[in-house]
Amino acid sequence: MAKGKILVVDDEIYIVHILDFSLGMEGYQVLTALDGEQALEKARAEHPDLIVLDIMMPKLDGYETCKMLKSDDKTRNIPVILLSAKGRNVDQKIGFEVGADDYITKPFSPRKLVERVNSMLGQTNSQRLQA
Amino acid sequence: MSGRNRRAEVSPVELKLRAELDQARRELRRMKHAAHAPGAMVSAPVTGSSPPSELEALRGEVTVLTETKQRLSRLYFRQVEENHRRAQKVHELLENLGEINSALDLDTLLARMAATVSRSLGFGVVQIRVREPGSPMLRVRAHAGEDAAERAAAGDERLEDFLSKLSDESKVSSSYFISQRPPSRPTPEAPAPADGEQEWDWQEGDALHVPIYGRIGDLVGSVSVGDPEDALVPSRETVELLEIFGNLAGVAIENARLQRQHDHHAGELEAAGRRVQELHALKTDFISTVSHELRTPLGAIRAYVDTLLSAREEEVPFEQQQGFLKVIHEESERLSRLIESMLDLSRFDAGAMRHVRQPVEFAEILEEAVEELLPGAQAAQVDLKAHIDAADTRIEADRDQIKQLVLHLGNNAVKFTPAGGSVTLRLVADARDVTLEVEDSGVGIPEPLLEKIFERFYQVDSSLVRRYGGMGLGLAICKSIVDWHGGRLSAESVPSRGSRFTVVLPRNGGPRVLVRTGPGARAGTEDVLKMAIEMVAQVMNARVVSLLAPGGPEGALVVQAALGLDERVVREATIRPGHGVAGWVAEHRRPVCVSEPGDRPAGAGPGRVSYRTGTFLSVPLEGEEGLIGILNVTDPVSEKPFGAEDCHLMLHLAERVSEALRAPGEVEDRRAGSKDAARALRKAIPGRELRRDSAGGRVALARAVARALVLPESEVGLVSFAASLEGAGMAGLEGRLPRAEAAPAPDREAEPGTLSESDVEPLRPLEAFGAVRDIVLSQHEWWDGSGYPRGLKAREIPVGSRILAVVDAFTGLVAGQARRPAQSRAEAMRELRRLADTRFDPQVVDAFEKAYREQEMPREESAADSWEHASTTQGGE
Repeated sequence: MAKGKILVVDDEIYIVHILDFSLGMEGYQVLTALDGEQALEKARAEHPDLIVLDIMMPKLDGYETCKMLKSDDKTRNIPVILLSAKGRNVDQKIGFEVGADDYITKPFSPRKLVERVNSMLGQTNSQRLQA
Repeated sequence: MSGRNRRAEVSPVELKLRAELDQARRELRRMKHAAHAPGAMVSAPVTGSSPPSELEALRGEVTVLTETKQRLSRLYFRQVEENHRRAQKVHELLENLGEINSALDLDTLLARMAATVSRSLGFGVVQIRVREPGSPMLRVRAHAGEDAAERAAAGDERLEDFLSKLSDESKVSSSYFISQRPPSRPTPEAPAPADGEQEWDWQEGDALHVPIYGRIGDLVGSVSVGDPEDALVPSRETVELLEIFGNLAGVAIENARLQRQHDHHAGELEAAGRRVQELHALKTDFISTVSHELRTPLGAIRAYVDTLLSAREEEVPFEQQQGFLKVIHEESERLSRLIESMLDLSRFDAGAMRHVRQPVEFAEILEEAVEELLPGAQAAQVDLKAHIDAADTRIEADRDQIKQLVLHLGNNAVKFTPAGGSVTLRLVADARDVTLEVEDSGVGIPEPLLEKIFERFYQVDSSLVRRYGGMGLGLAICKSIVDWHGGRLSAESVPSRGSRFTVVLPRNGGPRVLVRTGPGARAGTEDVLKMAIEMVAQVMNARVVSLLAPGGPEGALVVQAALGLDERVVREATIRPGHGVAGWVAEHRRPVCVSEPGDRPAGAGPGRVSYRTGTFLSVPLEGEEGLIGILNVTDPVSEKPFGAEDCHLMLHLAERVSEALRAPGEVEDRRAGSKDAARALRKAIPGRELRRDSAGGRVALARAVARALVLPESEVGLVSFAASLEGAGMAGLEGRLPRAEAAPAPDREAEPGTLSESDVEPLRPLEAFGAVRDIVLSQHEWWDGSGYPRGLKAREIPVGSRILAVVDAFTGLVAGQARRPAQSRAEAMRELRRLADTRFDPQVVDAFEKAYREQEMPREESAADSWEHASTTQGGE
């Protein structure tokens, strides 16, 4: 039984793959989307427990997607971790303004991200530690 | 100094006073003389008593003396009063001067000055005239007094006319009193009052002019007065007061000029400052985008390495490990490619990139590139195809660069195409160019970005573009490569339907239009420049065309765009105003035609321009706000010196070119117009480049016919211009219209298509170029009214269209077509004759025959069928 459903959204396919792998290893069920529009669709249909959302994406960027997620009653309560190469403070500020719950800058360590996901979902004990 | 001059130096009242005094003195003398007369002396003592007559005389004398005394005292008081009045006037003037000086702008100041002069010095007419620098006219800037406005209307005068009136004869102080009265009149000191009119009376037609001089002693204006209140010629004192005003006005005029210059410089500085800021902002954006581009692959590498490093043994299966390592490898490749691209670009910028131009087979390069593109396309589930629709794709080019170009465009297309989509690379070719089209069914490029994607700085300008960050520097590099090869790169797109990139590369790198690019260059301008230069080259049939524009240091001219000039010359040449032919043209704003080979404009040398032949045409391009540039043409293909006809033609072309170029230099909405024009040109041109060989012949023939018809030179220009647009008119007609060569099928073997106004749409934004569109649209109208699209008849059809119809028919007949063998020129001419009156304008056919004979006569023997040959091979070499 999976620990929870995580939606990973990034237009960089390699990043999606590695997060799929890392979170999968951790016991999560991973859903993926390559742009903001897909992300909105999947979030509404699948109700993930958490969303990892890249900022710079074609069509609908991460900020817009996050804003829409947070203004929709169906998706409002899903925690969102923003993911981007931008590390400047101003961007973090925008990130929180649009309602993001956490923020990780690229380049990032997938392990750190997994830890952050665990702590946000209250899963302090990873499957591996129990093993 | 003559009497008339001195007259004005003494106040008229003073003159009157002196005259009265003289009169009194004379009378006194006469009386004394009478008293001491011998007769009187004798009679008095003898008689012992005064005879009544003597007493009478004495009484009379007393009366006279009394009267004289009274008159003198009256005059004295009048003089005192007058002095008082003058003192008041001066006082008032001084007060006014303070007020005048407080006025800020020149017009207010001069108006106040004129009013003050009129009021305080008592002149019915006051005009202050000003000459603008460089202008030959003195124009009324301020006026005062009765009927001043009407008089002012007639007050403008040519400077030279004014100066010719000013003679030493009429000089008073440093002013001039102009009078119509005869010069030989007595001086005020000894006036000879005659027939009631006094010397000091102001007469109709008199005028007093006070010249105003500038800092360097140049005449900048005048204060002119007339119609004095007291109806007397102004005294020297008044003149001097007026001169004070004149000097004041001079200072004010100079100040206003300096202010204007200052404002202008300040404006320039401000603009430069803004540009620097803009560039700085762009650079910052550029850096942030580039760093994003670098961080993206770096981020992937870090993530995979991190995962591998922190994984426990056997946690990551071997296959997975291999997959991860592959990703790391690919991403590091991507990173190194990106760095390579940046280096390439900076080398392009520094001019350090040395490419080798050699004969290559484009098809081969395309196949190689597609091999490399396929794996990526397959991974992205994109269907990648290549079509080579040309037998001969040989081209002189740098092999590596061309491959890089194909890879960039191909990768780009794949990247923006979603899984299941397709990318097609197509190679087509004609005699002159090889064209590569890269079409995808991807996300497309939003309209506002189309203009910007090739611009290195602008491409990263907006957040909108940043979403397409992956395009990175690739397109900027593509543009540099295509530019280096003298080609054209353009993009079309329908958002969410796909994009098409078109590269047109000339087969031989031969002459190409080089355009100076820089931070100041605006979107859209470049294409218009290229187009304009090519057209001029074609219409003038010249090998070298250049457009110089002010833009260098201290107003020096720099090469904006050029055909047939060395790259280095385009980059480095600067011409100072007043130097060389172009410098002279820039300074005098007049065209120059150098027809003597001895008048070589410049020698060879670094940064200097050298030409093969001495003949040279240089024409200023005038915009609404002054000089836009200088258009130069040299090295005519004919090797003959330019003549008067060429000059006229060039002038008409220059007008059209300035019209086309004016837009980008001006306000925003006109910039949009230029973009439209550029886009239309792009649509009309790729793949149908103006063909120097064939269109050149068409242009020459059309021009000759127009001249044989004795059309006005402006019309000749128009027709030549329309003839040079061979490809443009046909854009969008393929498939529906018997093509250009089918059009003349005289017996309508081919069904006529329908040529509607919309077919000529690509030309619409070019209407600035004149009535060209109309000519192109009406090429298939018949003289008897049975043509299309509008069924015009006889002279309703523009004469240009009538000419082109005959020229194209003839060309088509001698070239032969699919179902019709080539005919001899004599047969073709007979055919034209046969169709004169029904299809063609008989007069045009006559003119054509005449023009054609004249053109062909000299080479008839040497190259029997050269003409047909040229038209069938269409520049095949």
